[in-house]
Amino acid sequence: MTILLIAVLIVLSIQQTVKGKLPFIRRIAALDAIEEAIGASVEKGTAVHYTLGYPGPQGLASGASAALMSGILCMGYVAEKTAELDAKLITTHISSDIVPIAEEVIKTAYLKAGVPENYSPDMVRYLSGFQFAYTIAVLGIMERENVGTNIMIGSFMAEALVMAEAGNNLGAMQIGGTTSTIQLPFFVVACDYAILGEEIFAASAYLSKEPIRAGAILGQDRSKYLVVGILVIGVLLQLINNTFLYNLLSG
Amino acid sequence: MMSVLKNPIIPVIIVFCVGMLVTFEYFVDVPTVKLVSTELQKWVTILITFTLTIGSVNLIKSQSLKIQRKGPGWSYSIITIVTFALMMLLGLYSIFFTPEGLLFPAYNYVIRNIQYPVNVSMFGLLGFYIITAAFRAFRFRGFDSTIVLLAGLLVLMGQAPIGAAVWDQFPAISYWIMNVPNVAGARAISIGVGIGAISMAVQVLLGYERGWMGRLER
Repeated sequence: MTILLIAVLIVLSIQQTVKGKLPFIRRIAALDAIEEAIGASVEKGTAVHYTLGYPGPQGLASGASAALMSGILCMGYVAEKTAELDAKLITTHISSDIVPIAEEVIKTAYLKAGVPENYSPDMVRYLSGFQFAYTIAVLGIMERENVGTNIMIGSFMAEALVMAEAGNNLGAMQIGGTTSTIQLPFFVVACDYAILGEEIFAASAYLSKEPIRAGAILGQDRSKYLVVGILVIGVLLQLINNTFLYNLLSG
Repeated sequence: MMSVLKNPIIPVIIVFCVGMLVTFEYFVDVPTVKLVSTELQKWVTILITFTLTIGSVNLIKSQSLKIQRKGPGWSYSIITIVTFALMMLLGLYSIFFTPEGLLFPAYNYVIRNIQYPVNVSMFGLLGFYIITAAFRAFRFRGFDSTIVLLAGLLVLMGQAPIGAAVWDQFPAISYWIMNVPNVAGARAISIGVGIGAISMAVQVLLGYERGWMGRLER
């Protein structure tokens, strides 16, 4: 029932935002740093590497699909910036089902930037379907192709720290973001900027400034108020041994 | 007919219908819905297997391009293509010409004696990377980093046997840090992530978000 309530809140917020003004989204330093990082790469003549991480064998159909979707949207933004600033872009992938999506997103980004001729199929590289085979390949690419900016936004498992530390050893500017509470601390420690948890979902709205996406963020915030309210009321009711809310929500 | 199939609204309608059917499974207790939903999820696994072909073609293309251009590390690209071809041929031979199929000894030998040890070695590297990352992170730089340093130190002393030998309260303090503030923070992030995932699902199902089609704007 809570899921339905949240879904309704999100739809209503989207409708409200489309008809009215954009809600305020606070500054997210990691996302502001993307353009700065790509600019620095252009100045130093280094490449920009982008990865969506390892969502598991199911790829886009896995439980991490929401984080992957956000990562794909951020990849489009990064591709637009590399197109505008004429930086070398390398995106590496472990899930084969994302490869055609990535090709389309990057091609569209380069077309939107007005330089479709600068798009190269080599920008999208499927490396392996296995976690550490992919990780080793990424390490090799970062070392050999002189990667100066390493952006990791998506769904990550154990390979997160390996890639982040490798980037750190190379002196690359790193921006990491994931929804995994286990991998987040590694990004906070090893990356210059980290996108924490739900900020990854705000990324697409923050970067594109589109009303629908901004409305979804507003809906998410309202849903959080709802959830916190339910939590507080639930705790108070439990303290007086009233299980009405617990029974209602657990069905 | 072709122009109808190219209409971008058709994949959105398919996603909506299939997505709502799979979502309904969690809200209704109708055997037919569960059966259809389970079957659709099996189809997803099969479709993903087909996309491996796209990935393989992309891999061969990009490695071949590197060999052609003699890009950095092009010799590794030759090794990649040769090993890819060898494993593919060995796998196909195992499936079609041996009674054991993928349990064929030669195939399993390569998997168990080459692939598994390399995977495990990379996992082993993680331990060293954690140490180097912790060495950089645990510093007296400001208030936040000092808290991280102290918490890390207390948990380390609690987890290591020497900690309990030095002071018997270290394990209890470590347990409290791991199970109270740590879990509280993780749960807060998980709640936000869960709501974000629902939001993304609603946007995809209702066609607001079409990034999965390669379209960044509607």
